[in-house]
Formats: sequence, C-alpha cells, structure tokens
Amino acid sequence: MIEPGSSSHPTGPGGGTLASPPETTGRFIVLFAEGAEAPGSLLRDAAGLTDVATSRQLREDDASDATAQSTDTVFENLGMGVVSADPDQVRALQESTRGAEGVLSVHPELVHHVRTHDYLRGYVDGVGDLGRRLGASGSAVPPDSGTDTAAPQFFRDAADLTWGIQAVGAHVSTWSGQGIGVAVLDTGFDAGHPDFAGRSVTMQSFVPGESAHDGHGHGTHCIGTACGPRTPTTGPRYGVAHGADIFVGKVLSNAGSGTDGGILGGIDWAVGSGCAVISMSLGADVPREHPPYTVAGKRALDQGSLIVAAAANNAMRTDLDFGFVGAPANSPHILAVGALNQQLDVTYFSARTLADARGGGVDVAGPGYQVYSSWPTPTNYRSISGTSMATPHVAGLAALWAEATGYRGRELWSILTQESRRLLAPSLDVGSGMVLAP
Amino acid sequence: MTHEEDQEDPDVTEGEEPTSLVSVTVDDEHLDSLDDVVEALRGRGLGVDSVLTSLGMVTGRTADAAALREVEGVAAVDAQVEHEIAPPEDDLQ
Repeated sequence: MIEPGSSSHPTGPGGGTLASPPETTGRFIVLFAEGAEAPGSLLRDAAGLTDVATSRQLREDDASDATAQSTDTVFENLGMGVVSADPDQVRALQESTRGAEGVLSVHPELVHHVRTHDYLRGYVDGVGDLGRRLGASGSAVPPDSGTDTAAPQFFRDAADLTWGIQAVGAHVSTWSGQGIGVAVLDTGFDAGHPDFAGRSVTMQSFVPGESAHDGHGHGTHCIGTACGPRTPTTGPRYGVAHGADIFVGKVLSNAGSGTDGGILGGIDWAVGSGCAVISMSLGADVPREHPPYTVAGKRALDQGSLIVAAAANNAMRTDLDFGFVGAPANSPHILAVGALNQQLDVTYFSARTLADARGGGVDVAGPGYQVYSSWPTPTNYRSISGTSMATPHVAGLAALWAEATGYRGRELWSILTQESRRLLAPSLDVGSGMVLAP
Repeated sequence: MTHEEDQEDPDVTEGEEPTSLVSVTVDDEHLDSLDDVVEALRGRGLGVDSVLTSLGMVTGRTADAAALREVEGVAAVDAQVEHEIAPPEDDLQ
C-alpha cells in the first residue's frame, strides 16, 4: 500500500501533517479527454512540449535509454501523460480544457511512500491548492464529499427534504434519471396520487385477478422513494430519480404476497421494456441462493438491466440475532441492499450476509428507517421502515448514475459501489457502504 | 418484507402427486429455440403459465418435475417460492 505524502514534511504544532502540502515532483499528470487524438501533438500545440515519448515507444526502445532521453511520456492506453511543464505551460494546458477532444485536467505529480500516516486530507488539499494556484474557480472536492467518515452525523427530516434524500445527496445532484426506465416490482401503484401527475407511468399486473392499482400501499411508497417528484404538492422532497420513466410491475397481491412466477414475469417484462433499473422490495426468508434468481439476475445484467433487491428484515440485533439475506437478494447477480438509520448505523432489523454466501451477501446500504414517502390516496404520505425502503433509494440513485454515465448492467453496478460512501459498519451488513448520488 | 413459505420440493413431486408451481430455466444453448423447448415441456406435462423470452425461463405447474428435467435444453427446474410483505398497518416493512 502506497500513499501520497511524505514524512519529511514539517509537522504542525500538534505533530500532525494533515494540513501540510503533499510532496510533489514538479511534474504534472495530464488527463486527456476520451477519444482525444494524438495526445502528443496536443501537448506540443497547446503548451509547446516537444520532447514527448509514447509508452509504446518506451517499450520498443531500450527502456533505460528512452527514459533518459525524454522526461515527458504519454500513456495511450490510459489517456494520460506525465510532463515537465512550467507554470505558463500548465496554465496553457489547463485553458485548453474546454475542448471536447482536448485536456480534461492537469494535476501535480505526487511522491508516494509506504504508508506511515493517513495523508488523504493532505492529498485533497493539494488538489484543491492546484486549482487555486491556476486560478480555477470552484473546489476540486465538493464540500459534502463524505470523506470524513469519522465525524458523527445525524440526518433529520427537514421541511423541504427527507433525511434519506439528504444523506445520499440526491438534492444536490444535477441528474434526475431523465430517459431512464425504473421498474418497481411490488404491490402496484396509485396512479391517481397528486405528486405523479404528468409523469410517464407504465403499469402491468402479474397477479391473477388484480389490476396494477396498489391496494396495499407498499408499492406506492417504494415508487415514491425511487421516482418521486422534485417538488411534491406538499411537504418535503422524498423521491430520488424525479425525471425517470416509471414502470409499475404488480407482482405482489393487495394482500402482500406473490410467487416466483409473477416476480420472474415482472423481471422479464422490465428487461424487455429496456428498464436500466429493476427495484424489488420483496423476498422470502430462504437461507440459501434460489437458483432462478441467479439466472434471472445474470441474464438481466447481460441485457443492461440491474436488479436491486431488499436484503431482508429478519434480524433482531437487539437480541444479537443478525438474520440472513433472503431470496432473491442473496443471488450473486442481484444487488442486495441493507437498511441504515439516521446516524448511518445498521438498523436493528437489517439482515446480515449469510456465513457461507459467496457473492450473495449485502452489497450496499441505503436509508431504511422512518422513511417518509407517498402512500395511496387519501392518506397520501406515510413514514415506515425496512430494507424495502432502503432498496428504492438505491434504485433511484442507480437511475441517476445510469443517466450521468450511460453505464448499464455490470458497469452500473460497479460505479454504484465504487462511488459509495464507506461506513464503519461491517461489510457483512453494509457491503461497500451507502450509495451516493452522482 | 417478512417471512415465506417454502413450497413442496419438486424432487418429491412425482407420480400422481398434486401439481406444484415451478420455474424452468432453459440453458444458454437453447435460448434461440425456446419455442421448441416449451413444446417439449408441454409434452412432458407442464401446464405453461408464462414463457419469459427475455430471461429464457418458463413458469407453470406440473406433477412431475423430474420428467421436465429430462427435456433437452432444460438447465434447471425449481419449485416456486412464495414471497410476502408485512400488512399495510405495520411500521416495519
């Protein structure tokens, strides 16, 4: 493990080095835009850097000679270069940033050492400092980036935002899930709810003898969390992907039960409808993988649909009973979601990964305690708890990421976990942590 | 979500037993000839509820799951599980 920073830096009064600038080499890392052609010429034209070798040339030449002759190198496969540049040249490169085919950013090259302290903060400051030195506006790191995981936090419902929306940062995201199909397979939906007037809603029932109308409430609550509006008719914002296309697959009856047949039918319909995200706040307390969902999850991913499912509410942690992730969430190709409370601790009911689960455990976590969302009219709104409520938070966030990145299937899964907020709780309970908005 | 009732295992559902709900998974090699597999499943006693073309699966009911497993192109036959959520008035769902 290597970390940026250096123990040779002067330490502050407290002996800490967190505030000291990172040790840099004087060279710079240039990030080229994807598809940038001839990065070498780009460096020459923009900043007058003429002696640039490509990594391929370095491999073909005698490596030691080549590195001795040229200090500037372009790594074509990575779309990056390392250059020696004076401040004017750095500024010239930075200013060529806006071109779609040009330079994305320029960062000082850091010196890395075997880890002795936690230098993350120093690195962050260094990147921010470069921005200031180059006169760039804005901070390189958003103020609420969640890097300070040690700080205690307590999210609260506010007049304008639920605690869950605040915790995942949906309210500060510029993405809405526009053009992304989100299927919620549940008890249906109250399409007459005033908060969803004018929205694109496609409804289909897979429950024999029942329409897709929600005669329970659970489905309307989950759809509200995943896809509710930016500005409800009254009360706080509770929905994540307010621009997404809503697909309502009724797979649970008004009495709250359903079979594999209906659920698999709903998945098949959602995949066939091109939904990038399929949210399933349902399950059976089966302490083993249920094979049909392993196949369904894999084939859905193959076709660009990510299935997100509730881990289970079968724990009673106050009695040291940690429960287990049920089906379908315990299938390795389905993203299993655990539930967090307002302090981002694991809720008492949220299920733990099965001891012998291979890939079928809790993958991520989301707000799942006292979650305020829509409920069928005339009640209109209600707060309830469960991994069922955490799941649509993650589904809505997946829609934002799908819109922001164009990623689908496994790539979408990957970015959700890569960009998640790491938590102090065991990975058995929260996987990669709380999913955040892009 | 709360508890489930695991239905009868198809392994013991043979002979003249009452029918049970199953999910049939078609293997990757036969996804292009799904209709042929479905016909063969019908011939072995599957009452087809739905053919799931995107997933390559068939749901239905049978009294003899073992017979379905012998059909060419069938990767697995699984008993359907029932899923339940809590009643609307519960605070924990």
